[in-house]
Amino acid sequence: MPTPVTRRQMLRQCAAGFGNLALMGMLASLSKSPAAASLNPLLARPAGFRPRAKRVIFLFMHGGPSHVDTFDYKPALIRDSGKPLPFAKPRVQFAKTGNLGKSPWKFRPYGQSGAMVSDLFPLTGACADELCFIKSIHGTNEAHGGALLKLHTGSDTFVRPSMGAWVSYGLGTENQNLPSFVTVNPTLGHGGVGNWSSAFLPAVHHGTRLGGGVPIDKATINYLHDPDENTPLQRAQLDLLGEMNREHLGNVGVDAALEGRIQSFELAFRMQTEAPDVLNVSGESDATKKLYGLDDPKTASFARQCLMARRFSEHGVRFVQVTHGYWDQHDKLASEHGRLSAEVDRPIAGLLRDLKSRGLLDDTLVIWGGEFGRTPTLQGTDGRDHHPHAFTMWLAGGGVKAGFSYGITDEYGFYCVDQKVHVHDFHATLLALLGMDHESLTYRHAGRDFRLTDVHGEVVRSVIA
Amino acid sequence: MGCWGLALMCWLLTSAAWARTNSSHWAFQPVRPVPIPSVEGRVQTPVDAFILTRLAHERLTPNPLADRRTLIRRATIDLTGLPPDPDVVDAFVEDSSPDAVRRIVDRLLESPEYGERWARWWLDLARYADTNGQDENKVMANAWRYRDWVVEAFNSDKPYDQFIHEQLAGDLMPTNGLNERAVFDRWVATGFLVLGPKMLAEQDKPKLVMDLVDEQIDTVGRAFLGLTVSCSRCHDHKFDPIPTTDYYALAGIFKSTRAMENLDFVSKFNERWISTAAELARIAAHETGLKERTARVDALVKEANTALVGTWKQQLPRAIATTLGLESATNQLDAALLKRTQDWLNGEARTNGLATLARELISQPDSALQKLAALEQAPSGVRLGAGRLGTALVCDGSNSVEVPHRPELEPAQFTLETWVQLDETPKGGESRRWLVSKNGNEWVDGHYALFLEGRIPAAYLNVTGGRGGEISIRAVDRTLKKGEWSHLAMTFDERELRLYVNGTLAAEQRVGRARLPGKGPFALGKRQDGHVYFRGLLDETRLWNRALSADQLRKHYELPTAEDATGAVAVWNFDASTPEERVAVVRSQFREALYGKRGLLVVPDDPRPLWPVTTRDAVARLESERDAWKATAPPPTAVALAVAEDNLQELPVHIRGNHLNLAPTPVPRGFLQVLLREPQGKLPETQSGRLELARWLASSDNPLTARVVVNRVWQAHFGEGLVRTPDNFGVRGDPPTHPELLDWLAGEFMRSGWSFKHLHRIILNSATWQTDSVLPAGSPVATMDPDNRWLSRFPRQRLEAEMVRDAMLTVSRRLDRTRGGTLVSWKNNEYTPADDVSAKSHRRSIYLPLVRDRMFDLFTIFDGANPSVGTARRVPTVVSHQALFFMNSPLVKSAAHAVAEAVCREEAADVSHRVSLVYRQILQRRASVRETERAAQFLQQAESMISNKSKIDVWASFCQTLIASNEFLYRD
Repeated sequence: MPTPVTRRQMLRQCAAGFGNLALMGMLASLSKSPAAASLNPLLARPAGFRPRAKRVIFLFMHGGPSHVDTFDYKPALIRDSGKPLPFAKPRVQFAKTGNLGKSPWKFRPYGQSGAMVSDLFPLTGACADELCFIKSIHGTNEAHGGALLKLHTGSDTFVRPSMGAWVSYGLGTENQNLPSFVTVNPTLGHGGVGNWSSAFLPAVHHGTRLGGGVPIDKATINYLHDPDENTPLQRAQLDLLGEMNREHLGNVGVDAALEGRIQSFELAFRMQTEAPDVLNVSGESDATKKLYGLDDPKTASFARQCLMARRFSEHGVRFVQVTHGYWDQHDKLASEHGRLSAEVDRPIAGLLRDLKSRGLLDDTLVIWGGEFGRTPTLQGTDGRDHHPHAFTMWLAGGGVKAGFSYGITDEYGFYCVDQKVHVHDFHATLLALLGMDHESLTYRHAGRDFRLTDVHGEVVRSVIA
Repeated sequence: MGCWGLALMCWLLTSAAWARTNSSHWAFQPVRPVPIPSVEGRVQTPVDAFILTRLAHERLTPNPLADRRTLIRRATIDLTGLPPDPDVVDAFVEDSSPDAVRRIVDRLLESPEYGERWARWWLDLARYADTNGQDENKVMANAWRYRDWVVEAFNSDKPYDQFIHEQLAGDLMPTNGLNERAVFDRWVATGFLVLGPKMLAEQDKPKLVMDLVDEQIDTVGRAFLGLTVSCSRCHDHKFDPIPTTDYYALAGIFKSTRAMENLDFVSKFNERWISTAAELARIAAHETGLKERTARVDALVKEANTALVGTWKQQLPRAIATTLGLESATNQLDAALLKRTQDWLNGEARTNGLATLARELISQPDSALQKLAALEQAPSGVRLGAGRLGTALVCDGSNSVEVPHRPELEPAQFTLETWVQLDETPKGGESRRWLVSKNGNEWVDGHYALFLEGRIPAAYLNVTGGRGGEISIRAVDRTLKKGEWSHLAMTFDERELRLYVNGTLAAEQRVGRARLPGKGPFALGKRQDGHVYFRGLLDETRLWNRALSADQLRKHYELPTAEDATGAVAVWNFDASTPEERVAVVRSQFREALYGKRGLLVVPDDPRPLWPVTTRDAVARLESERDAWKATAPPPTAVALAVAEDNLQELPVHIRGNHLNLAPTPVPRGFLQVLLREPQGKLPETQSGRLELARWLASSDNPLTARVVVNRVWQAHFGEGLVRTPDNFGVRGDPPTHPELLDWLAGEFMRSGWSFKHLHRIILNSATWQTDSVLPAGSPVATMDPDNRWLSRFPRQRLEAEMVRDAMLTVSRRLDRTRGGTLVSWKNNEYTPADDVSAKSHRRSIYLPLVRDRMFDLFTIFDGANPSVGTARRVPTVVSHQALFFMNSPLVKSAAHAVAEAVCREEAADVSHRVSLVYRQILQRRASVRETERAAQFLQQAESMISNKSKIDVWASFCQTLIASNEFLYRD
């Protein structure tokens, strides 16, 4: 390190994530002093328990899949189907619903754990012994936009950083040639970028979007590709640029940012080679492609997304989100939930098995869920309304208890009755699994220390292995 | 937000005693007069005296002044956001007069680009955007008027106190002597309060309103006071003496202000009309003139076409006879008609059998003309296709069936049911489509109808007659699917109006009285009096004189049979099952062929070639008169984002910020107690209090307002403020590095009449701002003052995102300097279309549409302000994505290409001359000998690597490298 650079300058100019200037090492050495450590936003903080997961894959089911038709088995709903709900509905509802309605699907037990899973997810069900269900997630917002923002940022009221951005801010990246937070095929509505934005965190933590508007096999990172495809010329340009920049630096003396910028071009040049490789799934074996369902037109699109998620994770991307939709069945529940689950069941099971066989599942946390569940009461004859008051998400790998279920809803799956897990608690748990204390992972903005969990959140220790 | 663990306890405490504990904080003390220290050294403005005093104290010496070229680049970028013109740089470098800098600063402050650069600075704080963002990203197509108001405010050096008054209370300020335009401009300024991101689909509407109030308080508190007031929504502020009672005193003011136009399912932000009476009169006069001129054209066109078609009608029997070979051709027959007749008879008419009918028709020449004329009155629109049962009525958006009124079509209690299949998703102005209707439109006595709104089934019933007598119900969650049969039914039993979709109840409304009947016709496929929009199929339409039960309707849906219609008062099954119906269909077809949309006797799309030459010329003359008039159109009526007064309300403390958990008594509206020098007077009983709030904020007694804003201006010039937490002047903020200077600047700013331009002059004419930025390797200053807190050197700063783009457009001479107006092409309040936001325009960046949650990627990559949150300081990062941008983005490549093109156009220039041109254009300086040699080498190398050997491509690769250089991206 040739020039004196203050910690403050360094943090400001380099931050973490996408193309961080190979300065992680320097920061680590700087942060050995206790004072520096308390100010260094790049290091994981001691959370009272060791990090179980190094990275996250979030399988987001946009629109709100029905919990009572997938993973939260309710015999009483079958028994009392057609009868009115025997207790009060919530004060604010999105749409009117009628009486209780049983699920069109059969549930059956899977694996040693005997988890009851509906016939919508037979292949995922077969992985039940890897899964850790949380059946008592609840949020606050009954509309898609608010619920998406709540789930992704912790706030359905204000503009806040996405959980992926927080994780990137908290842990940095394991691969400087790739973004630290990638979101594949996200929805542009319902909060859009707000769901993967860094808000007031440094912009390097902003999620890098792939697809979402373009077919997934065409998706790439902006500006990664030289439109002139003339690598020798680009090399010559960078050599000339380096010479000019070094001469300029010689004239003006010491400046960490100018120096950092000289290095950033070299890093960018290397990224151009590595990042496209990761995006390209064509080199995967036929067996792997088949495992995910890439060979079947029905499952191919989500299979590609899941395969990309594994490749990103393998290459050190900290937080990968893939989105699938649109699970918003106010009507045609029977046909549409059927179609949607058929698109994702094989890819999800394939991803879980693939991660497991590669030894990645141990330190990769897989999360499945939507922005809310759906009402156990019917809307019309074949639909269910939005339901933020109780719904199911499941976790797998990454230090969670396998073949486990947590959280109890009432006999119809309408409200949580025990072991409730608010979205804030889910966030706290997510950070804890990554080795971070949600109360210490803060960022000073506008005169206040902000957290992913605001002033809420309790780690659900029971789900941690 | 915030830690409500303390909340309950704290809001109960009386705030006054608690508040005093922190009120001794420096920033809450009045701005005091500060003497300018006397000091040895380079004092050009009083700023230097304060800075030099501190430097001496720190045993630091200031750098020498920067060279001329550096100074003019620095000044031009600082004040206009653009790099200087190379010619201006040359002139300035030559100008050795002592006041050269002063004059250039004055000139830059007077340039219109000054307002554009400094408006952007303010828009960061105002969280300016052209769309709502959040859950429902609706377009705010009139937001730009606020942006233009800010640009103009800076260019006219609007005093900052006035700037505050207008943004918070422009609609309430005394208007004596002002013309209407000036009054409306002040309304535009209040757009500041409406611009924020809002949760438009929040279904808990009282919460939506309180969240909006909170967003306003947060923005006002941070922008003007540098305080985080909104912490006190849920609990007394943890650090600053702001109790919840202060928050709800302010909240009362904003709650009494109308910022939402409605609180519908997806709510709408507030807007106001701002066209002056004179403008409206001009618009009206122009419209009248246009109508007259258009009418003249139309009349003549109609006359010409009537003449044309009149001839055709007369000649048609002979045209048919000639075509069929029954008569020999004569040149008395209109050639166009003959051609059309031949096309028809040899084409379509041959296949559908109408040719035979035509032959029969003209076999009796005497009556042929009458028969043909009678066909024009035949029922239209009867076209049949495969139905739910048998055949169905095919509607293509142009045809419909109308049935005259008869008493049994007006039952007191009734059921109207039909099967419907939708062919396309209706959009825009035609999205409301009537399927079956009686009696005119919804404002006509007795109107009843089944219709679709988009794909949502709905029903109208006019109960009490006339406008306002209508009731409508919608099945919002039962949208129709394209290409599928659906069963709709409306029933009315003189108590309830119900709508059934596919046999189940989808919506209902209590009416509780008999309806007023009507006397108009009954129509299928349209609103009875027009609006022929429906495209799709109708079948088994039935009217009953009673309300059918849910069971009956479910049966009609589940197992439809023709027998279901037994007992109905009218049935349209479109099955052509009787001879009369079959004749009607054929007659309708024949009518269609002659008089339908593309009928034989109908004026063709372009009839002009068929008119006599004199008519053609006359029409063309009238059209050019009309078009000339059209070109003089005044701007359309204008609408602005703006607030208005609402019902006056004082709010109780919302315990833990929860609008459902209220303290017993309301808090009187008011301001922040800790900042008041004397007790605040009572706010008016007739107004929200925004005007008083604005006056208090912008008063010289307010200890924060002037300090906060001069600190922001300082930060914009030096990269860091004197207080390095520009958003937090509270107890937990950083103390100022130069407290005396901050107070002197604040005082001077107010003494100058809150003039920004005066403040810029004091700063830019100082030696402090004019020092060079060099920090030699090994200098002790690097360890004595690494953060440059004491300003012995000018802090080098990276160009901001907008400046990066504007600089590239400037040096490639492609910047479009058009000022003001909007580039948003989307409709107001529509959802922001999903297309990516790009910047095809070459206008300055401040004018590019700012779509919340979908920013132009250059702005994101270069740390632009997130328009969803007020941004007090942009944090510049150095990341590889920026490098990729300079390597691969079309924007950079095209800029480089444009410079290369210009350079290659120079005739007979040698390489070194061209290199110097490139340096001058991109970096506004000469190239050194060494740089020229290096460039020549590179160009040679590049030529060998570019396969087409294009000279421009070779030079472009060199220009791109210069644009990517640190020297280009930073202001030294």
